[in-house]
Amino acid sequence: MDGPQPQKICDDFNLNNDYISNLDADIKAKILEKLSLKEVVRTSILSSTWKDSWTSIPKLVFEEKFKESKLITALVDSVLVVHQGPLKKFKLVSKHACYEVIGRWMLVLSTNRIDHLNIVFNGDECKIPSRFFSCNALKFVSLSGCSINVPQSFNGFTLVHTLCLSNFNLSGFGIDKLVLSCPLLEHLELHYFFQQGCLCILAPNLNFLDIIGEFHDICLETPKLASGGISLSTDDADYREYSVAKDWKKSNITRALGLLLNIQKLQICGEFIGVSFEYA
Amino acid sequence: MITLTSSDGVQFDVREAVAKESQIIRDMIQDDCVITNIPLANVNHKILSIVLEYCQMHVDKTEMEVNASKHQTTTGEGSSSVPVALKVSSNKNLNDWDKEFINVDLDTLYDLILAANYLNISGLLNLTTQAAADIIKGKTTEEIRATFNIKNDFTPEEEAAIRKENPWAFE
Repeated sequence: MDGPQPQKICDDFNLNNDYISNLDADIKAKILEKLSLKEVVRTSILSSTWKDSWTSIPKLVFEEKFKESKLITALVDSVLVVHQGPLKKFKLVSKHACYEVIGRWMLVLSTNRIDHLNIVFNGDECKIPSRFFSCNALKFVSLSGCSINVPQSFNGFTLVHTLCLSNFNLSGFGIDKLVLSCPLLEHLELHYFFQQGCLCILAPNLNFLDIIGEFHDICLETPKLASGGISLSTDDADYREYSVAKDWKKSNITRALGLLLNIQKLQICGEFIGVSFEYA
Repeated sequence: MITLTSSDGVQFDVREAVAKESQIIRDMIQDDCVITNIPLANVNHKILSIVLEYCQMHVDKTEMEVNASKHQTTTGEGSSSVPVALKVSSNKNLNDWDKEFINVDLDTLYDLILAANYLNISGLLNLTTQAAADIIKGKTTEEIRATFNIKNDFTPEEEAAIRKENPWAFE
């Protein structure tokens, strides 16, 4: 007889064996994290070994559509309360702004040293609580439909490599300063925003950039940038007065785009040039 | 070449690059560069041969891409069209190949999950756990229990109580 060998992979499986229930918790979590939250919670009634399995998945994705904001609030609250073990990824899509409660969720996320955060408010705009800025293990940040007030005490996101902001307004800090506070930034998307004055992107490691917004001028100091798109979207004739390349003789285009030493593909469109072209 | 010996004593001679798809083997080789024979106490020959088929295919595809892009640079052809198209088609082929590869019975899938976890082959672990998740998806609780032979040990009252904890999930 062989000695006991837990988890040994052997040929002689009994066909009636319940293989999946006996998997190690971390392997089971790898299966469960690939299901929707609803499917994963439904596994709790399979049997007693499954009852709490779902509570240790490291990724939580809330995409269920609810008619009332208190339902989504109650759902996230109840899941965060029972969640066990490391939590690395959090995604929330909601048309209801959850301002009253999002602060306490951020507290849980920052305690868990969350590294992937994706929040989409596609109805009401939501104010992002200052606790967001203490999630200093973040590597991936995507926020949509948010107003963001950067606290003066903010020390930067030292690990963030991807930052995507959409339908946002930023106060306390300019976009330039926020970008500067992410020294490892490689991927930046800024969509649907307004910036008074020059949009200055100084990011030594950036290799992808996509900007669609309203701004008066742009300056890119991104020597590693390999591909990007810049689009000035505005219906307001006033902005055209400030257009970067309105008058080629006075143009800032060299200062704005002249430092792109590694660029392979750059798409520029919108009002400030008036033409769309690809430069390879 | 490196020799991998399965738990039931069958030897497999593979290229180092193929063996190194496994993180634990990669670590072993790094720690001891003269290592030539690695016994794998937790994987039998049937599963090991399937695992190695996966590693072989993924190494071959990666090498093909590298060679194609090298060829591209040395011949000095335009930089955009060919390699991108080649890469896309080769990724598509590899995904199709993966899909076909993972079309196995539940016993084998379970063994492959354990082997991928033990050998720490992240691509294979992802592929196999995704396959298990796909089996669960779209099934009722009863169907999942029947598929995996999970014995329901709850009383009706206990099951009802758990449903009540998260009623939205059972609507």
